[in-house]
Amino acid sequence: MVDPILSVRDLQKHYGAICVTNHVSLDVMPGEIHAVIGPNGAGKTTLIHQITGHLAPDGGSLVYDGQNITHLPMQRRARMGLVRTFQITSIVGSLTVLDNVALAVQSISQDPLNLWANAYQDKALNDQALVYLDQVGLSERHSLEARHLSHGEKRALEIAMALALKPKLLLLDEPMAGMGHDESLRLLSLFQQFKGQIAMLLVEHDMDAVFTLADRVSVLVDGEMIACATPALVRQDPRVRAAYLGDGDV
Amino acid sequence: MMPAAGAAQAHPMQGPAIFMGCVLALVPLASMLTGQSHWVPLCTQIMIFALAALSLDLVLGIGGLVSFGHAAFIGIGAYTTGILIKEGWGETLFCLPLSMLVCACFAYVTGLVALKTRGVTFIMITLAFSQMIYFAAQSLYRYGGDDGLTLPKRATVLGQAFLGNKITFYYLTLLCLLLCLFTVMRIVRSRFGRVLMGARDNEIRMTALGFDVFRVRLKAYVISGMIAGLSGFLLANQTEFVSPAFASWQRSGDLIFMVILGGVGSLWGAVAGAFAFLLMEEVLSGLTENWKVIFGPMIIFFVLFTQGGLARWIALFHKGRGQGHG
Repeated sequence: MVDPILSVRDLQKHYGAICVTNHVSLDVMPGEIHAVIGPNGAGKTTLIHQITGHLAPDGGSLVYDGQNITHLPMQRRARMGLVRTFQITSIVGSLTVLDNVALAVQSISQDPLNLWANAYQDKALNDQALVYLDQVGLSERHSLEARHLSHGEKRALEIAMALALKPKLLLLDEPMAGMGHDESLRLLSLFQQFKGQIAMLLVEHDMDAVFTLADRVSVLVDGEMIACATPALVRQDPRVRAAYLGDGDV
Repeated sequence: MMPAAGAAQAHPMQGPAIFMGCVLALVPLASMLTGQSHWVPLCTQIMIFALAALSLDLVLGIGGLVSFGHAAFIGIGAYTTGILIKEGWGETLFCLPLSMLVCACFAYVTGLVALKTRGVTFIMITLAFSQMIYFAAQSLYRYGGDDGLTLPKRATVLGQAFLGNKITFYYLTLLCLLLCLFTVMRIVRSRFGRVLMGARDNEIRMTALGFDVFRVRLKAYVISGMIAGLSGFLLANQTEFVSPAFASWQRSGDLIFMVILGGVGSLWGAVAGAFAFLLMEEVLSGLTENWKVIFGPMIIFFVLFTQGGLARWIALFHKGRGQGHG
């Protein structure tokens, strides 16, 4: 039996009287794409925030790659390969596209905070960064200031930055949100390309994407995990249909 | 080199810095030829404040941390030096490192608290720490209290009174300024500087990339405090006097003005801003007693109409010329 790369146990989070994460347990296996779906306000992003360390849970535990990470700060988790993308695109707009990715490469390099050598002319960093930009199809835009990219390109840049951190587990918070059809398709094929190599926890509204990509789907409703199964089984689960998918033709 | 048009740049321009260095190197000669002997001490003093403004620009311009208490470091550096000279320990090779070390410690301890906060809270907390230094200096009765402390002499270098010579002291100050300017420029272009600047624009992003933003900022704050401490050492020696006013909040405010005038984050702009600010003050105060009535509105108009400061003007000029050639 292979150990899960991430195992969430009995996670709890309250905002006052409202319970946003209600005893949630979940396993992500190495190489697996695990989707989390649920209606708006179900607590999906809150769950992601707790896994990345952005929010501290009120109870429960997180074990990542054999280590208890429940109380580790965000930057430590990131350097261990637990990497996220943001629902609202998050890049450094005043730096170039290349520099954004070079920052990620720099983070896991030997000397991430060197005070003296010129970082912008560091060939080793820039060459590696270009490889990742190439993977997401942005290498031609490398010298542009990142804030001038289109929305879809910014998303792609974020993915390149995430990949540059050599993730073991990628947390993708609605990566397709606001993307055009073609861009979505390109992203989809990119994720498919990494399927089996990098485990992914995918929060997504685009049901086509979820059912194409995911090995397993967990359904979160009002902070509670009501189902976790293969896409085919989840589609048929009457509770899921009632709570989320509606009774229409899914 | 990539010419950047924005005010806060990942690639601070070297050209203006070199140009300023050359002009400043000629000031003593010009002063001798024209007989304007007050130019040398005036420019020395301005360069000392330029050094403090430069140190502020590292945390304010590059790090995005609006420190409203940077004069505290000038005060600490000056008092450490002043007290040591008064007590007969006035050897530069001892005084100077110790002044900077005390500033580093103060920056580290206050930074541990202040850098946990953001925005207005950070402004207020740095102000509060600097006021503590101001009142602590006032209560040093042995060293003049309110009235300040007049130094018996300047610090010696290997027992020699080198610093007593106006011209020597001028060039020493210029050397310190240029060394610090090029050091800070290097830091800004380094991996460390890139993270510091990235965190100014997007702190969560830098944390999610695995950087410990708090530690990076703390280090920058300590480096900045040490440079301001150096300016305190020079100021105490130049004026042969230290007073609590060195650490007053008005002084901290002046430093922020200098940085804004010059162009936030442009580094050499902080130096140009110090010159613009203090020369205007010098000229206006020579014209009328109520010079602040003119000075205040002038500063406001200047800031309003030159967003990005002097550095932006030069960058735009530079860019326009570059396009003309291409």
